[in-house]
Amino acid sequence: MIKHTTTFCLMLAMVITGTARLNGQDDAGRTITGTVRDARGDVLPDVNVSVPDEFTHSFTDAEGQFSIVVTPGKSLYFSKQGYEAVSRDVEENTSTMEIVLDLSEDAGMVEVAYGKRSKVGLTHSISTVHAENLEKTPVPNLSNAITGRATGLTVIKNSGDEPGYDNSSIYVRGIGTFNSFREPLVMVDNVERDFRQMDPMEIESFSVLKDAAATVQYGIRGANGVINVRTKRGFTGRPEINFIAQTGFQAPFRLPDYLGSEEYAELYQQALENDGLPVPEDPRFDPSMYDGTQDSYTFPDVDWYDEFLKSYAPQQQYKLSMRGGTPTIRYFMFMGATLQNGIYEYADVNPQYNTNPKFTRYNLRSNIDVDVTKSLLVSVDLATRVENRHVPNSSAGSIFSTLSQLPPNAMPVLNRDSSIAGTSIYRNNPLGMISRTGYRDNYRRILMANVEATQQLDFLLDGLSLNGMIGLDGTNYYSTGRSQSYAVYQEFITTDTTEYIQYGENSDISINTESFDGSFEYMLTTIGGFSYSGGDENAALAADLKYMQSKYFLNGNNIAYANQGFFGRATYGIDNTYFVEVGFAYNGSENFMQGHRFGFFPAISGAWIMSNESFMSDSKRFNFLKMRGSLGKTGNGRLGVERFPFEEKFYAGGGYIFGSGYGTSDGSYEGRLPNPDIGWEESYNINVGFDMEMKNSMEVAFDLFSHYRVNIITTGTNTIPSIIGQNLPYENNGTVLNSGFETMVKYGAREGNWFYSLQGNLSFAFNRILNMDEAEGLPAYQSREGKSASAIWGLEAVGFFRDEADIESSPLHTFETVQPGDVKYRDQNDDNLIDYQDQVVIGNSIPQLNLGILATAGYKNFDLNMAVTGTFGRTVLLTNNSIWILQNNNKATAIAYEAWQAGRENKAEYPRLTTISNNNNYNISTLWAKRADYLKLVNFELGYSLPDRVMSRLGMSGIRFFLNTYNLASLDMIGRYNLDPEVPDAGVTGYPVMRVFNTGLSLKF
Amino acid sequence: MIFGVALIVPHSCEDAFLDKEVDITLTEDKIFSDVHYAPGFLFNAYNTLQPGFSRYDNAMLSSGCDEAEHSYSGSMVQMFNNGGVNSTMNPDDVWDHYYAGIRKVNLFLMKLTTTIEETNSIPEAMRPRMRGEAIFLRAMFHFELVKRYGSIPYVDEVLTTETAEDIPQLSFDGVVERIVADCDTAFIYLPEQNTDADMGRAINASALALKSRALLYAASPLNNPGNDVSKWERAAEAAGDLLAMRGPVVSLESRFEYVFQNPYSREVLLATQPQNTNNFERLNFPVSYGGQGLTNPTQEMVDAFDTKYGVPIAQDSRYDPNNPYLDRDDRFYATILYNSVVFKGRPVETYVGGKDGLQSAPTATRTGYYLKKFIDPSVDLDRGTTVRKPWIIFRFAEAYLNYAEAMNEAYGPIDSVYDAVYDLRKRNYILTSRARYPAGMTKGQMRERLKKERMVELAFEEHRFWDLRRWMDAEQVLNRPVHGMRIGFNAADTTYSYQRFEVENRVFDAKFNWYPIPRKEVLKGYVTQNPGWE
Repeated sequence: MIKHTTTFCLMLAMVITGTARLNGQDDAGRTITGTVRDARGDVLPDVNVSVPDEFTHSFTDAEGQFSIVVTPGKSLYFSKQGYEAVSRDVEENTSTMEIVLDLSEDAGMVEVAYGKRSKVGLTHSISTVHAENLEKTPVPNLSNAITGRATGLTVIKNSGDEPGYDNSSIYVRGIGTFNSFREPLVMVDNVERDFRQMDPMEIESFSVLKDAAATVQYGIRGANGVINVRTKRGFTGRPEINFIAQTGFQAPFRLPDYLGSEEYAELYQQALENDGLPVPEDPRFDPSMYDGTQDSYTFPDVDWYDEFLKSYAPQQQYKLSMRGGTPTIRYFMFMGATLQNGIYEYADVNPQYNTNPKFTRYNLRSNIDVDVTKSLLVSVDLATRVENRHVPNSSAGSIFSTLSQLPPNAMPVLNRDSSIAGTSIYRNNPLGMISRTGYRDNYRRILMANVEATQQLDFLLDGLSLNGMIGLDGTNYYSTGRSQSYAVYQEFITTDTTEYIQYGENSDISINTESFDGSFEYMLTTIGGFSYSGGDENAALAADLKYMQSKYFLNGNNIAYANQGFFGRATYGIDNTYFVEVGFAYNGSENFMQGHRFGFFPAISGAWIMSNESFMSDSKRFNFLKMRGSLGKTGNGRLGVERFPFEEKFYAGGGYIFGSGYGTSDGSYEGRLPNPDIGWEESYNINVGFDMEMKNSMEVAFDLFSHYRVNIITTGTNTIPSIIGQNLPYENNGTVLNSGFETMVKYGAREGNWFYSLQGNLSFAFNRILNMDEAEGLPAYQSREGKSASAIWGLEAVGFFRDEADIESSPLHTFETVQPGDVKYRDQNDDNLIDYQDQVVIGNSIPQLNLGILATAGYKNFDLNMAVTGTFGRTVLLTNNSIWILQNNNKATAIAYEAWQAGRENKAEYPRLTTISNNNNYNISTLWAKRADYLKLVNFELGYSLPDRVMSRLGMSGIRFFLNTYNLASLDMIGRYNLDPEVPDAGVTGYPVMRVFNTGLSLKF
Repeated sequence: MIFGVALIVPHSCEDAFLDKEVDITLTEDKIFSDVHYAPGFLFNAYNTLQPGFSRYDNAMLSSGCDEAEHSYSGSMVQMFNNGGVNSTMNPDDVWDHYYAGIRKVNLFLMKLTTTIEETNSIPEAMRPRMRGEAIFLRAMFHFELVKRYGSIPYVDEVLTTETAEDIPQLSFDGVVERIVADCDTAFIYLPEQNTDADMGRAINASALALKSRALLYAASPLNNPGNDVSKWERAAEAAGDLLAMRGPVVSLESRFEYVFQNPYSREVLLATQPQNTNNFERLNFPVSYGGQGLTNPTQEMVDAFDTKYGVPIAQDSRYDPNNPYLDRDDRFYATILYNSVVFKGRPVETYVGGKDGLQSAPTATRTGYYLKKFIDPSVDLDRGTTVRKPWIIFRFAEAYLNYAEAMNEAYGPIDSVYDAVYDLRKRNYILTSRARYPAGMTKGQMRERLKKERMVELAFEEHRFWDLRRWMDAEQVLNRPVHGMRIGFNAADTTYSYQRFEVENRVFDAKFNWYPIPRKEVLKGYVTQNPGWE
């Protein structure tokens, strides 16, 4: 840690001294003042005013005014990102200048698939995440930061998991298939890459491509939606240097609260009685022994969570970016370091090694654009990322499962003789798991390179260009570690001896470093083709026609993944009012049989800017109003099943041991039956929407969509006799209809020293399976057709058995012999039996409604940012042992007091307590399915910037202090169980979800 | 610019970019023309045979009948005891498993006369034997199905999605006829014995053992409601043929317990592969020895063992209820771990309060007993040592019992019945004279004695679960509580007291004599569900 802090300080020092030199003034010059405005006549602040070839420069202030000393005969250069730079000579007598900057060609353009289009005439359904806002969420993994930030996004945390392993699943417009591959395609700078471990400071734009018009270019890869990320590039002008140092701490968001030994012993007795088992005469079962007066080795009362988890763990991030350039060479450079620690106590008690989880990440990027000639632009982007993850050899899952299982009186942490305690039942002691099982370091090194050249072909046709790009990605991952095992000891005290029985075995740490699964994988992507842009406002045409191929080479004998095809697009605009676009992809993947590999995916879309029509030109309500519509077909070639389903499959292996030796005989076996005609999923998408901007500057975007997905993979499992004896061939037989709407409303205003803006994102998507090759004759309630692809199935609990008579008169519950206090289920098919045929839909695992509220406010030099996200219509199953208490050697939370007990039947929320597992009560049912709706304050940030006058004195353009948080608060119904509504198992069977408090400093030069 | 163009041209129309650089996929032709993979295909089919050590959610099938109680109450094996088995949930649903095995042998048989013959990937001399093995395995797999589901399709061809629906569902007897026919054919092709390297492959006695068992089941009351004596005669003949094979290749071990310590005992006619494992010990060592102690023999099982005088305990005045484990049939000591017996150098403590006693741990014994049979005490769980552990499917001892039972039913308790049982029992008594049943029993008395003999000899070997069904005894025997022994320890005079107690009530309905055919198959319309399960 100290090492890279030092490095950063050093770099910072260099930057500061460098900048100070830039500010040195030349006495021989004269002072020029003036104002810079945009084409509409509004003043432009923050325009860089500089003297080429000299280090002299200045910025315009909030009123657009500048003042600079320059030697006559030189020229002044005015630049600002998003505007065309202007150069003006300084004559002998010049003392003031009035400058007008026009929007640059790029301004008003938005990133679309493999290109840019004018935002005004855009016919696609695209929503964007503002990358600068992602910087305000203090989490290294970007998938956790984008939640709620754009419409059409569903983000669900997968798990808590140790630093560096926490991730969220992302869906675009919910899910449109029952295939297991449901996630969108992610493109970073036109190459399929992961964005999750990127730093937000590297990102220029982050957009979610939703409808067919937006995704059709990806053809066979586009049906699940696309996330399109572009990194920052340089610009002509004085360098912008940005440095951020931040440090904070992470604390578990929620942890279950288990009862102590006294309550536990009491409840355990009650449970034994319920089970009809006698309470053993052992005094350890006596609650009164835990009043603190007894020997704590025989009668322990251990709070395992408290003992083994720190209340917080530190994290730090440092980043530095530089961006600028000359008219011919422009650059963006970034480097960042991230460090996160884990929360295990006792990780350092073993002098040989420390096992506390640690995640270190370094990001480095250099994007350079060079105008080699007037018409040839070459870009070279190099980025690399190093990710190191250090963890104990015992997984977080096993450590937390142990913490959440060990009863408080099971054993002490250490025995009287300081040996690690254990019992014949509890052979894992978290102390041993954390400090004596060894450690593992997982390393990942990623190199990403793009080299691109664009040649204007104006000599052939004005506006025509040829472009080629090569992307090379290499990933090297390997892990090393050393392992150790430990024994636990159980104390047996008889009248005169103390005996320790040993379970397991102590071993020394392995001498050699063990290395595991080292591998190197790389991907080669090439894209190239023609672009044309021409015409004028009355009739503008923009068109692309390109070829792409990519191949992802895996380790060893694994067959590479490959994509190949053409794509193109032509957008035609008339009078800046009517736009029509046709797009297509003709592409294929290696996963299908030759001759069945390529598909044609077309889309047509249009936009009508009503506000440009004469009848609306005087509108008092609208500045801008656009209607949009699109229709098209996309595909999904990742079927969520084994690869190459078209080919006959036989495998070597699966031999048998014959003879007195230990060798296995030769073996071979047949695999799944092939279907040579197997193809990809196809999605027919329709989308209509509008974008508008009111006179009061309120912006609204609305989209209504319906995606009809056909050819989803099914097998004849439900229709073809299984006496065939082999896995049945895959068929393209399933259909899902996914529909919904999205709306974004944004409003902002500036009044005096105040400014504020508010954005709301609302996305709703619901899907129905229309066909999935089910058996005929299923009763409607059992059919999965007509239900959601994310439906959760289970029994419908109707209460608890009151008494034996109640059991007698109820249908036979087949899972277990039931008794009063057990869960009673509804007999859905009236066959007088409760079994799996009585399962119905009891919830939905993917939320239908996603909400995001983003608020920003500022007063003078203070600023405030807030992101609230909510999901609705999702169900979680609470099946971990903080809810399924006592049974199966578990301990108990306060839920135990809500369990059914003779005498308080009517207040019962949960079945009777039991010490043994119970297949009836602990079956998936409505009893354990809870609404996981939540509103979370994902992000909150308060910032203070030093005033401009201080800045100009320091020769800097900004110093800002900030305090921000992640996951500060949540409003939900799972909180009463002390569980996270997104991942109810976090902290129980896995690493907890974290809440982060973070503070930092940002410097701009 | 130039490289932009260069990129586009070479690949643009070429599908080859998407082809595999290396095609390592094995096809059917490659497999069956290869000298390793072709025989390997048959060897792989042997994996379909299932060991019974922990198949039912870590339990043995014994815990689903009156031989044992499984101490982890959440195990799915309990569904057999509480009437929970149904057509959508059955811990022993093997329908898909065995039909998958049947496809393997049928595909092998088909290729044996085509690709294999054409390419000579298996030398001609080896082909008959492999044909015999494939046919035998086909019969074996169908028997595993028919004893569970009763009425099933008999598949002797490689099915396609089109032809699968045309295979008729045969009656139990119809299936047994096909099994017998396959066994007869296999018998001709199979060798009399294995070379050392081939140990574990089927021999001709394996086929005869299957035939004997199949015919015995077919003659039993469940499948022979009219008590057609000729069915018993036929069963007796098959068992007699098997007994007649006794010789250097197949015979009884000199001691009962040796059978379970030797992966290739001459008493074993077929077993699953002898994998190295300690999983069974991990599951079944008593709790203080580091195991989970899951399989707990019942008092009913313990009571079935005679005294060492060869007399049932109820009839033997020398049996002392206050010292119940003294002087019992040798097989008792090889089958049951009981209180105070020395195991791994120290006594097992199943008394209340003992290290292995009732409730001493969540999966401690629920009956007062642990399992000894199949357990290898040399296994050190802490060090993770393993032992070879084949699961015995057929052993020669069964032939004696099959023969005695079928002869008694066909001809009454004639001498050959007494002789067969004596031949089997005599290795278990120091005085061989005690192995002989008292003369003069009626056919009914003999029947009861033989049932008990079978329970004791074949305990925990997946026999009684099926025997009770085929005898149609299950409706009584499995429809009542099982018991355990609560043992008190008096520290003052270091004596034990014994009290029988009810461990669990059990439920058995007539329809449980057959498993339900999986509902997903019934819905497809090609098979009819068993009675009571519709």
